[in-house]
Amino acid sequence: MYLPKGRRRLIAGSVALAMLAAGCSADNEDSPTDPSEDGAFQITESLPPASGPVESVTWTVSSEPDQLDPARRARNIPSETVRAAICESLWRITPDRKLEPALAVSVDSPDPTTFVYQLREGVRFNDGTEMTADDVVASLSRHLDPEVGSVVADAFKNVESIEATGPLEVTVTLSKPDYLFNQQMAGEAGRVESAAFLHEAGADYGSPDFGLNCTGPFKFEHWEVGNSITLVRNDDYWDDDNPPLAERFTFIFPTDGSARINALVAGEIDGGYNVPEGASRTLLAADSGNLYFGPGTQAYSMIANQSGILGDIRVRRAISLALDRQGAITAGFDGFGSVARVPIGQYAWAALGLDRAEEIYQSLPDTAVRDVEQARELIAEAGVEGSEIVIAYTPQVPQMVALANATFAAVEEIGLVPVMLEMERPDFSRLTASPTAKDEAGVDLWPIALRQPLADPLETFSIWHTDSVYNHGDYSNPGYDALVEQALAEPDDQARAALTVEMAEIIAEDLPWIPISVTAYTLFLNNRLAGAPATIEGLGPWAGRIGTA
Amino acid sequence: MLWFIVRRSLGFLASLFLVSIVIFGMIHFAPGDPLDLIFEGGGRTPEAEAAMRARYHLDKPIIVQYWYWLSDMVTGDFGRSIAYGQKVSTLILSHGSTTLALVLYTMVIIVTVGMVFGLVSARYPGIVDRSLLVVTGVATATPPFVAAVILIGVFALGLGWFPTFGEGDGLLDQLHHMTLPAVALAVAYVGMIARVTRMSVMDELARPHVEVARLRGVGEATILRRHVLRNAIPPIMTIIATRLGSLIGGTTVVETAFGISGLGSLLVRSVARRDFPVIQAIGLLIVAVFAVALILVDILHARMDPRLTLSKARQR
Amino acid sequence: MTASPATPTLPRLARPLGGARFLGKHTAMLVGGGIVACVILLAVFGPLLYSQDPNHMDFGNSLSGPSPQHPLGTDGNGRDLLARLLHGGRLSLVGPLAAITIATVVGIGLGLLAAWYGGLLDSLLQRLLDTIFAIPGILLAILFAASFGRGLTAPVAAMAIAFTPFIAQLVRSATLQEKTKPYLDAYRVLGFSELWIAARRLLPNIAPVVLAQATINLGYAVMVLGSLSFLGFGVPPPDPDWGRMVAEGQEAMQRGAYLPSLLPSLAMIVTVVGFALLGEGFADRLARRERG
Repeated sequence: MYLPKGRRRLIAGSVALAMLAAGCSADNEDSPTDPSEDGAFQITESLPPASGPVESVTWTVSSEPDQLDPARRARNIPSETVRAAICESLWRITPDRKLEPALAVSVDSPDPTTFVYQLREGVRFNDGTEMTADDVVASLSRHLDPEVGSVVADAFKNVESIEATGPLEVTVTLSKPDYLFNQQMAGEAGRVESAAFLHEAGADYGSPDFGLNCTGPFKFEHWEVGNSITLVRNDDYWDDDNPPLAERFTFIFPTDGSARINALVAGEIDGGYNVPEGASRTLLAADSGNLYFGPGTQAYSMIANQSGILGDIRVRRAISLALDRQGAITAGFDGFGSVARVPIGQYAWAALGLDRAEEIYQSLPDTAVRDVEQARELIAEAGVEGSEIVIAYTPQVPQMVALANATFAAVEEIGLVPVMLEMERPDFSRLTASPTAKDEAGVDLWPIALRQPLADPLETFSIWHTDSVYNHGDYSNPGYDALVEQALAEPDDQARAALTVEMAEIIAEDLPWIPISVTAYTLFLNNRLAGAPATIEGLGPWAGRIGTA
Repeated sequence: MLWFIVRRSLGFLASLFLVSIVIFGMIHFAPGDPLDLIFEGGGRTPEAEAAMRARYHLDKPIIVQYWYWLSDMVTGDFGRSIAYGQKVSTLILSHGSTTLALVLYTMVIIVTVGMVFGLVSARYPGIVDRSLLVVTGVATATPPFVAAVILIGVFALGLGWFPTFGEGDGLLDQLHHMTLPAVALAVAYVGMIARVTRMSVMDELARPHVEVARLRGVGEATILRRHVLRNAIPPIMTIIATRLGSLIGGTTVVETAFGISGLGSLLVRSVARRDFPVIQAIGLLIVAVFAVALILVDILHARMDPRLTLSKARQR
Repeated sequence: MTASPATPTLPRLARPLGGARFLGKHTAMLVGGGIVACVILLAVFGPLLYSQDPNHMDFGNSLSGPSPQHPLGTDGNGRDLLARLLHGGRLSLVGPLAAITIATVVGIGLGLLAAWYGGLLDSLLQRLLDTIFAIPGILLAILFAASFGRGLTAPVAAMAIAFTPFIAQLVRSATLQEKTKPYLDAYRVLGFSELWIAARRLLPNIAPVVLAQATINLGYAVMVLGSLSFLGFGVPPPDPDWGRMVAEGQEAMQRGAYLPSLLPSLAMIVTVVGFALLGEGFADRLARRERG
């Protein structure tokens, strides 16, 4: 039979050629090696300050925030990053993780359940109106309003009342001692907005049409949905020691991770925090700017649902022992990460001094050591071989995909049956947002990235208190709860920190969340600029510090 | 003729109405709670939830919701995006201009490249003709996303001639940014236009009046322009109109691949977030645009050849 | 509102390649058939013969080029590309096949009914088909994905619905033509029922044209479903599917590895070309037979 091969030969030929070409380029790609070998993975504590003002800065965040209202999106990094350029809180966190006055100049605590804040005079909102105690009361109180349904309501759980006791004085009364509350006033919970603006915007506060009207170094100008948010310099900014240097600050959201990287490399966008780890090598090699690794607390862990098989500590330990953390770091972060011993990085204790923080961390059990043998024994002991473990994740966050994959591999290796459950973002978020979602979906493990925006490690470790809304796996340990209560009532910062070390030891043992990796915060900054803080943690007035190199 | 247009328009409205029911019903019977996105970070108190439900009319029966949606649409109010809280009409206007630019640019490429290929094919039969047909054949089998990824790989990442994302600012910059996306979208349709042009040109070139013109000494170029290409326009327009729906559908893929914030990528993002008001509005808009294009082409056919109208009527 | 003006003689098919007359008499069909056969064989038997696990992740080995262990290299997660390509073939083909089969069967039914009984039924059906025509296939699939979530079921259902009108119109036109032909009257005179005549005598005569169109539609369906997977709807991970593989390969492209996206792209193009050649070649043969 005559089979004309012309067409097929042509196709086959081009395939072969393409393969050869592609194969050659792929061959030049080395398998990821340990980045510290290149000397590339060094933590930069701080960058040199800017030398002067600059006309415009373009910045990228990982995705477009859909809302700027802290009551709705206080824990959403893109939203936080934009908001921190516009709004401020009662305190600021300094680079060495101490509190310093911002919109509040001092606080007095006449008794353990009262905080009296003296506010700064002469601070103006973007629209020109002056800040008074009423604005602070309105901003804080709305987090208590059930109709607002604030995501930081938890910070106010012990608050009985918030009152303006003077034109620039606010008194907060608690139902029991809670020294974490004062720390919270340095974070999102303490953001101050104009009461009049809140009233005017109503449910549209923080939406693209209304934006924010705060006291910070930049004013909200325009939000072009899907494209960018433009801010302009606040020339009436109260802090003369830290005048905003850029005249225009524009956040740009490329819809795609790769697009974001390419824009940075090409110099089309000036900078960004938290660039995906997979792009770190590309950015390190870029000529247009520099990639810095800043000190950060961010750690990725797998939350264990205690109401399933994972309720048995032997199963959690087994999975932890079998996890190839280094492999996950290589796959998910291109090697730019380190093994986590607890679900937070060592900088959580940075307020005690960096050396002490490292000491504390090193004293915790080393999770880098794998022991699949022992893991299998534990599973046999628990009698659960062949049981199904459902691992959920969302493809929108690639790092989480890598972690889920690593967990999958570990679970499989120890004789259990892992099942991957891909969820769309709304469903995945429900796992943490709703207490019943995980049981409804039958999920046993899912990844989470945890940060500690505040200087106080108690913020992190109070998570595993039985009643905490952030205790997503439903871990319950009365002894642990007692420790947390004790720490909340402890006025001395050092003593409180010591208690958190005890808590960390329990968490490392009990593994309510199985820690996997700690990642440094990355910052890419174009050569023409300087002054950006090396890390976005604490989120003080970072944007104003960026100016010409 | 007028009656014809009126009849078609009524038919269009009827179909649009049906489609609106389908789109609305489908999405509202979907599993999952539309408010999940708002409460993603937590804070889902009963009061907050009730307030949000009322804001988006989710507390009313579905017929009432449909009625609100429909009647609001007549006044230009397409509801509010659940993700952004912004009016959908604002979102569509801001994103629509980008997609419109992309689609127009794509059509320009399709028609010019297609016609050139078709012309060359017809004028130089033999090896040139065959190779062009092979090339366009493969092109037609290339889905837009494949074309997009290959173009990014070769021209953006590889050669660096074009930017990898975004729409750009200012006319020239926008053209620069949208070139690869427009090409990616155009690839699959160039072949069809080339073919139609080729057939029509070959047809015309064989006609006696063209011979006569040649004998009279009229230049090739003029012949081509005046007699030949003119004839290719109607079938080209027909093809563009009938494939417009799938072309607009292709913008979802191309805009996503190139990071362009147009209606296509907005639709995809809204589906991922279950932002129903936006999904409904864009869905209906696409169908409406496609339907209008089809009506226009029907009118064109009717005008050109009244016999066709009647024969179609008989077929019905 | 019609999507394509029907010609008086042979119903014009939606032809992506516009007829393959440039190749020899049988070339198109044979080449197309050859390609399709290869693709199907590889998809069906490939995974059986090549036993690597397409989902096994080997982080240390990600984005490696072709090697004896991994003949086509690995993707960003260290998964074997050849295995993913072969398994992906199954998933990339099964959806379109299911969708087009359903669309063809339903389309034949509807087309026959409309043409045979005419009148109100015909008008209603035309209105229904027009409504479906008005919604572009990929949009319908996206809407279905929005409503019914992930997985193949939703997009396949959408594709089936979207392609039904093409077959239905084709069958309707063909039936209208055949219906009046004298040879069928002979059966009527002999007392056979209309249904029997339609099914046993008419259908086989129009079947070839329908088959040709269905084959061409298969190519389209592969493209649309691939696009859907690229966007993230459709086949859920970690299972491979060509569209999804192209999407996943984009990140690899940034790091200089082009195979993870190039291979599934080529696979898709070749497959669609195969179906188009086969379908159109077949259609051309029929056209020639009719004319000759």
